[in-house]
Amino acid sequence: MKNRLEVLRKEKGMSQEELATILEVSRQTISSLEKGRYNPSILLAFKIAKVFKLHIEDIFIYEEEET
Amino acid sequence: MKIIIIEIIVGIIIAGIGLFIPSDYYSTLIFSFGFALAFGASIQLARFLYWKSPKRQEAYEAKVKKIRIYSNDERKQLLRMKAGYITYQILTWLLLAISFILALLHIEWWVIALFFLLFILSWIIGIVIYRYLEKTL
Repeated sequence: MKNRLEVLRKEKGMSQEELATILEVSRQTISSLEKGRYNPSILLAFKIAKVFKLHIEDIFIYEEEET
Repeated sequence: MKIIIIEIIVGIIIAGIGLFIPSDYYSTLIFSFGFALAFGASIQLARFLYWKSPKRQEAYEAKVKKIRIYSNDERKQLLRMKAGYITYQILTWLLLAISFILALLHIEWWVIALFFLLFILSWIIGIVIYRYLEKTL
């Protein structure tokens, strides 16, 4: 799953540390999310969407796996 | 704080009892147990007093917040679970490998049986816990 987290965070002028503090997660989690190495739980995805005042699907792009 | 002080007192009492036991083996065993309890609790007390100092209040609160975030962070929780799962897999197969190697070396049967029993136990406990979690989630 791709996401626009890094772009949105930079648009808001926030550091990873600041976003992590707001979301009450570690900075490493933000870094992993931005690099697409980790997919968040639905709860964290909602929290992220709330911070940026967007819908989840505006931030996270679901791609169906090719079989 | 109260628990730490109780641990120190209990540790000192147990170590003291250990000193009066005539058997060298049991005396050392009980003294070591009491000493370890009192020593561990003393370190905890020292750390508690260090961080409770008013001049370190801000740093203490930041540290507590960081610990709380790290323990609730979903990615870290997932990593801890993965680490636990990998450790379980390694230890389970290691026990089987050890019992096989010991059998090849003609070690006494009860030693081999002990390692093999631990392998079976670890495997069964894994299944039982999985089935329990399956019903609760």
